[in-house]
Amino acid sequence: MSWIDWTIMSGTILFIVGYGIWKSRGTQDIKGYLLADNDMKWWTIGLSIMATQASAITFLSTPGQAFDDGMRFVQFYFGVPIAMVLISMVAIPIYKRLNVFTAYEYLESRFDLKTRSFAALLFLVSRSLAAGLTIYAPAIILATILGWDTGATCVGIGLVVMLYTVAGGTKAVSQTQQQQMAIILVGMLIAGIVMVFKMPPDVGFMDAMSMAGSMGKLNAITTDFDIKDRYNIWSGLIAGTFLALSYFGTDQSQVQRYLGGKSITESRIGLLFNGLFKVPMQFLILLVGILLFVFYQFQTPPMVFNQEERTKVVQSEAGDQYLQLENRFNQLHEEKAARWNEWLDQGDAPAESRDATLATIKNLDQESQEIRSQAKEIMAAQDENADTNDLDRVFLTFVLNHLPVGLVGLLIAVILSAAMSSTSAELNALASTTVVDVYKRLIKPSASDRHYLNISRSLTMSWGVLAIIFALIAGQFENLIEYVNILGSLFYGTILGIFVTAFFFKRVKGTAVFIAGIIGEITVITCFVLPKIWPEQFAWLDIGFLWFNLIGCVVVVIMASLIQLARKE
Amino acid sequence: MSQESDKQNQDLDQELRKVIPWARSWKFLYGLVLGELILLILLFIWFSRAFV
Repeated sequence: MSWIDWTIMSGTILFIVGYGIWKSRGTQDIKGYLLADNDMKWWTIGLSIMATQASAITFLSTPGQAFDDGMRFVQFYFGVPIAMVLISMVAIPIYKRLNVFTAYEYLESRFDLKTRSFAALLFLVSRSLAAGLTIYAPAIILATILGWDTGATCVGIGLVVMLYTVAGGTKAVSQTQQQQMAIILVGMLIAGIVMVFKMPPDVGFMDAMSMAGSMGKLNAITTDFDIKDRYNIWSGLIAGTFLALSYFGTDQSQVQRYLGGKSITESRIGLLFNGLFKVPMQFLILLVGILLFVFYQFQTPPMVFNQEERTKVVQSEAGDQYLQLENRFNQLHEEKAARWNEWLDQGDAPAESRDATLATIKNLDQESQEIRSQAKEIMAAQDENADTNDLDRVFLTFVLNHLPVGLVGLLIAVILSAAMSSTSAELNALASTTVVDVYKRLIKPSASDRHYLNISRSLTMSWGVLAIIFALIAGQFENLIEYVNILGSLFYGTILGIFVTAFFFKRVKGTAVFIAGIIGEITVITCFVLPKIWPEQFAWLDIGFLWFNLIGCVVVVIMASLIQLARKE
Repeated sequence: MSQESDKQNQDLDQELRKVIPWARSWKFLYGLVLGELILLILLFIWFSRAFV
């Protein structure tokens, strides 16, 4: 990166951090620190909700996802608008009227202390591990591509987030998230526009769409139902709704965003704002990936985007074999680019000749994909720990190699902003849950407001330090990212089931829902573990993670109702 | 009970209009969000087929 990029990147980050600290100055009590004095407007809430969900990996991997698999990932978000409406109708009025600090606080007033503690514990375990990964996942990519030190990048991101989150609490988190979302949207829009301008002069936006469409990349809707596939309209609408209900309605990192609303109205509109704009935003990010796909039909892409792994394999004994594949890949690509130009020139030609050219292109593309797979197999054979999934590096590779000086700095600021916005919300929520649901409820119920404010700050700092430590050791363990993501999926359904019972099944009491929660969790874990241990016997249970949310929720609701009936209280 | 609930809903609708004057009621706003989802799905179906 040039000094101009460094200046733009640091200037953007410093401005956002400074703005957050300045806007949240003078916080005097715990209500101000954890609920932003209940003074937030709907647009702040809406942007804050979007920024919390959109982590750095969203912006690094989503364009790569579209580059490889087309637009069908957008269906994953179809449940969000439905969930936003349901949460606005049911959960927000209850949370706001009870004036709770955390979602789990409500569970004690509805059920009992043990149910509250159970839900809070599940949140603390899964979110604390996830916070470390929110820092580690983008840090490892930025560090390897930009040549930074991974540890220093993790510590840098973590410290900057801690600085304003500890100082200003929820208000600082929400205020900075507004700026971060603005930078993210502007950056992605500019990247998309530059891609169109970087294509050959006679290739316009509509040509790009035709090319992508003819290669099957604009497959935004898939109607085939497959329970193992996350990206079809049914899993998006059904399982996606349950995931979104759980994440936005019961995960404190999201609930805290709208609990700070000035009124029920402001909180509801903030959530509905997310419901209106989430799907179009994801569609546009995926469209950037589609433009990237078309761009790389004319520009030769790296055969494998992970250059560090390439260097390793080239230096190994399989280096010659790999370089031969790379030469063939480049030849195929040049031929493909020539065929694309021919196809575009055939605009008015008979359909048969255009189809014939397209068939040639598809054959060339298939051969290129096979070569890419062979190259990855060689990498894996040389080093079984080799990171062969390079889709989250596709977009960043374009940014570094093809964007002009200045814009590179802006786009790196986009990635860092996204990492910071998610991490800050997580630290803020972890501290709130620890203070409200553990410290104030179980350890020291009566102390001064000042005391709780100081404890909240200390806990935010402690969670930040833990997240950094976890990010630093994350690289030492294989498949850690995957396991932590799985852990979150395993808990969400159970927590949602407890809340759904609380909202809609008024006769069910604490002990029944607590036992049902444990049964629900055991059921979900069993559904996950059995196909891993006995893959043949339990192949039918090997379903997409998205469906665990529905299974957990339904089991808890049914079991809680049955247990309550049996207890005849 | 029903009258009380109707009154609460009217109050919430009135508060909504203070913030967003063009939003007639909460039902209208919920319909807008869900209607947009349906429109987007239809648009995506068209998009999936238009450029093939």
